[in-house]
Amino acid sequence: MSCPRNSLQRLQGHTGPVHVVSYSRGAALYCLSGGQDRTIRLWNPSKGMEIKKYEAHGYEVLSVYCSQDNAKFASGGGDRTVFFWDVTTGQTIRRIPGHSGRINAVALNDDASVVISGSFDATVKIWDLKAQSRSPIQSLDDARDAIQTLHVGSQEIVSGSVDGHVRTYDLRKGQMTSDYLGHPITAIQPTKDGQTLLITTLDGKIRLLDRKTGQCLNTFQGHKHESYRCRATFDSKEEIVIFGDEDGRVWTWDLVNATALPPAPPQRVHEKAILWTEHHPDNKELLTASADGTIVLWGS
Amino acid sequence: MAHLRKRLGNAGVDLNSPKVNESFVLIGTPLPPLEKTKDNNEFVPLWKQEVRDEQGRRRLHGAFTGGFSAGYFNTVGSKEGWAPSTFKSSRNDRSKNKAMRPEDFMDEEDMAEMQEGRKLVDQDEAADMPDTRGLLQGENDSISAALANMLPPINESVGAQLLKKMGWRPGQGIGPRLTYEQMKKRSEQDGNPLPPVEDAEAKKHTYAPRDTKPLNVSRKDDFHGLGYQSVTGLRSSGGASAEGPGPRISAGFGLGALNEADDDDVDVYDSGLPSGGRRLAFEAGDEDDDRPRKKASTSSSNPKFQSAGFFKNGVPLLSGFVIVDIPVPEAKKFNAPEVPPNWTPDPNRAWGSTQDASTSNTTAPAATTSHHQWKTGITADERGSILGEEQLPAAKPSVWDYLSAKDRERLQGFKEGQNTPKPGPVQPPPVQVIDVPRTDPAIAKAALMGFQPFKDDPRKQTRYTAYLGSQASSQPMQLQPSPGQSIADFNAELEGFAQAARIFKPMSTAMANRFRSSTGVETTAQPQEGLYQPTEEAYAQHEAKTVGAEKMQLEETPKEHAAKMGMYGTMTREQSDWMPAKLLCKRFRVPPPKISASDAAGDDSNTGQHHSSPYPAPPSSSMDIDVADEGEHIRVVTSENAGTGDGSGKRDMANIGLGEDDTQGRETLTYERPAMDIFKAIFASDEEDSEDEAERNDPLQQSGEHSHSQPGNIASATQPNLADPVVSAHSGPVDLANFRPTFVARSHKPALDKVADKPAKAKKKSKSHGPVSFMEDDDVGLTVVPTAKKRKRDKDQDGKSSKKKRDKEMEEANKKPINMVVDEEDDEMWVEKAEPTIVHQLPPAPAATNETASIPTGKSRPRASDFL
Repeated sequence: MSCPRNSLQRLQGHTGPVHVVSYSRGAALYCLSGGQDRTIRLWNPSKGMEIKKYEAHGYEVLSVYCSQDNAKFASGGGDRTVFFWDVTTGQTIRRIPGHSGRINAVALNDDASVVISGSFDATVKIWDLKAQSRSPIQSLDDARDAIQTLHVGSQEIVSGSVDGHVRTYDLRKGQMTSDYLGHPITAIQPTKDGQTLLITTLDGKIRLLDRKTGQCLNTFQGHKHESYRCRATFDSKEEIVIFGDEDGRVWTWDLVNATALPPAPPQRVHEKAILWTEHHPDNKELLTASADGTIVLWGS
Repeated sequence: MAHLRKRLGNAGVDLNSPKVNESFVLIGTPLPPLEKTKDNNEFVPLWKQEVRDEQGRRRLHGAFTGGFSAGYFNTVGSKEGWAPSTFKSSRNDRSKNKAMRPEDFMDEEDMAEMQEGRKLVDQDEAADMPDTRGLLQGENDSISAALANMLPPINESVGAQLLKKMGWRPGQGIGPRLTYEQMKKRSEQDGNPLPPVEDAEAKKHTYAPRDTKPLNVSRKDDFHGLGYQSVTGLRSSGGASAEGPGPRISAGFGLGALNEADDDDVDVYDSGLPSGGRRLAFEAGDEDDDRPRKKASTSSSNPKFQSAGFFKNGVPLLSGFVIVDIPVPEAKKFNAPEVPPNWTPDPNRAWGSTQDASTSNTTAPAATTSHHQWKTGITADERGSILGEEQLPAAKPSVWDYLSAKDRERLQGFKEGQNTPKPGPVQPPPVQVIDVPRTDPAIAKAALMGFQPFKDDPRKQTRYTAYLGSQASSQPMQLQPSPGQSIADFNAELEGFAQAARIFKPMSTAMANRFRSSTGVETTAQPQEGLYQPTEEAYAQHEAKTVGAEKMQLEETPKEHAAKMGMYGTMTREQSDWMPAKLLCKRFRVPPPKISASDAAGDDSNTGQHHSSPYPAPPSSSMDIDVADEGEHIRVVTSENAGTGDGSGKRDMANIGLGEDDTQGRETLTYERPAMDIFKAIFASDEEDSEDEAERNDPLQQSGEHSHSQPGNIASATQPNLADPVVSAHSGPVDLANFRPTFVARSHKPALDKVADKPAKAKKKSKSHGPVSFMEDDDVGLTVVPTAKKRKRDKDQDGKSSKKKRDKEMEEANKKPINMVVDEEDDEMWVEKAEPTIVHQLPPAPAATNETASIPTGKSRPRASDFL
């Protein structure tokens, strides 16, 4: 029960802040990263090798989401268009315009038949990838402010917005549940059992929310999180909570006790803010993407 | 070149190397570089030559590609060439039938040629204007005039044509025909008396008036007054001698009587007057001459040119124009009068005099006239009063008087509402009454919640709020003008408030949803002139302000409060219905949620989500209704129950015919009712209505006939029985027009079994009730008998006699897809049928029978039109 803190690889290639990094599905041998330099890069993190560069975005890339079969991925960013890519050819299969603001989050459903995008224009739009229609299947307009993060489950869509609400749209029940947290939400990470949500908010706190009742089970704090979109995540066994903060430190907490694990405060490992923290689904590996333009692979 | 290139190529020289292309030419034109492939003068063998037209297009395509100038490439616009057009009758679409023009068959070349060949030609000669040249030039000898009259203009002007149609002839004057007497009189007036003809016949005719010569209006280029006759010299009255036609010969020497008049001898001073004009030997006012002179003395050197209408340089004159012999005088300039050196302006002198005059003459001072009055001028009445006229005794006619009292009141109210100052000659006296402009309470309420326009001025804002509050609650306003504020100012301010309320009322909810009013209070400091020096006071004020702002922020919703306190849970959680799109559910492989109709309707307004759902919410499978007065739980059993049953697989009446598959009848349930018009068109014809009418009057007779006459419908009539537990449980035939969801009080459950066992008895009972489909049974409670009783009887007898036939019909019904939901359809389609034997054979399923009942309905039977 410890966080991987040995720097194994430093992935350098992005020429600006790296906004997002995401492991591939399955064995998660590769990772995709999107940055301010308008590129999406495919890496082999363990070898520290850049495999491919995807260039089509005209603005920064803020979100990347890989399909379950690793053949396609969706991305969104400042150009207000959802891009749907083919991994091998490096070409966009579809470009879906329709948002009126930059796209902060994209997600695909399990069979990649639907792409869901959350945007600065305070809407979540659901697009059909199987049909060629230009209008979304549905638009969720409940949010009062920008959507920052999305989670798409098998029967639900969870959105986190700057207006401080986490909205869960249950397709099965036909019900929308909104939980008010009072602070802009930057990231949502559900546990594997789907019982709780790890919600990162801009007040410098990370909360573990019981989905059934909406009660806060634990609060993790101590880190600095005021202005950037940073993300807290679990480790592979969901025993600790990991967060890379705006000072460039990687914080860890015990999930149950909510106590910061030593060293507290941790060392600064990035020069600038860590914008995305991604843990390997199985191994003890951690990726941190930072505003200093590097992605670091941590292992133990 | 080609040869050279070839040879070089054969020699193994790289043609592209710069060495080869190096130019050594010092004199003359070098050959084109080698790499340049295009050499226009290069020899091309005959078979490689191409024939091209002047446009550079290939003309010869070879025999296999269409031959000379044929086919797709040069002429016809398509690869297929001409497609023979099929015959189309122009009977129906005559407007679409376009006539082909030659241009449709022309290519660009032909078009260009046609363009070239085109010339702009005036279609008709410009004959509207009478040729005035002759007139002006004085070539009006009698012969030419006669000739001119004889030869009518080729094209007559429209006016001439019109006149001709009205009986006018060329040469005549215009006007009504005159009698001889009139003619005589007129010609005497003209100074051209008619020759005395003593003819009795002459008086019997009417004459056309004499023609008048066209008026030649001359330019006035002197400064004499109108009608001024300049001083004529010695013989001002002379010269009225009539001269004969022909050129006037200048008097002088060397011209004998026999001498022919030459051009040179023509009197150059001749003014070319037509006959009858005055001729003056001397005219002092040369400029006064009516007619432009043709022959100027300056042109004596070349009179021929002049007479032919040429400029001095030989350029021909335009027809109808003559050269002016007197140059156009320049506009004279008049110098300003000289001001005496010792003069000083004294406006008061002039002003004073006029003012005195006006005050003495008019009652109203001129200075007080408003702009409006000045613009509109004074009315007749005002002028009358100014002039001191007596007021006419009659009352002033006013629109106001014709209005009814009610209208007048309304107009008054409207005027007050508008509160526009009435334009009047007199300034309204200073207002002493506080005039509160009205604002619609709804608008006021909305404006109270909306944008606050006077944030920078808190005092004004409070007044604004007070005003809106009073308007919203329709209470008299307690607001008083602030000290130092005149009533007029206060009124103006209130007016401004009303306007602001109108402007700043929030947007409609749909739009407002998208915005959120900011929570922070904007405190814009009023900019102060000069160097800012913070005083202690100002600092304290600022402090107080910030504290106030914090206080404002403290006002938060319970939700926010709970979130702040960290009490996440029920307080911070909100749930609402949300309808995912059908396609979304499909993509997620999730069955679409079933939101009950009542919930959906209730939540529609506050969530605003259902607008996006592409299909109507599925109807609830069952609705629980509490009937308060009975205190019993009554369940509505609708036809939906059959399909959306619990899925327990229980074999009840609902499942009959559906096999093991519970979902088999599902489409039936989602079956959407077609538009009413269809039903009306099919079922509600006049005939049937009348038939229905008759049936009602005499159900006994009609029903019997009916059932016999429409045997084909019997099968379909049985279908609903299978789908609907209610109907099948109690009676075979369904009177669809009368069908209603039925209710059964729980307390009466067992009674229904009885009904099932003894249908005959129930029917008998129903007989006594007239044509009411649902009836109250005394001992049983509420039962369903959804038909008119007598028909059934007949049917029963009929049915018993032909049981075989019925069985067959049942089979048919089973085969058919069950898409006929028991719905409010017209009964005329269906014919009653005896209770199917199947129903008797089946053990009555408790689920179906227990829960059904009939509603006690009114005595009036619902008609087909009730459902349409």
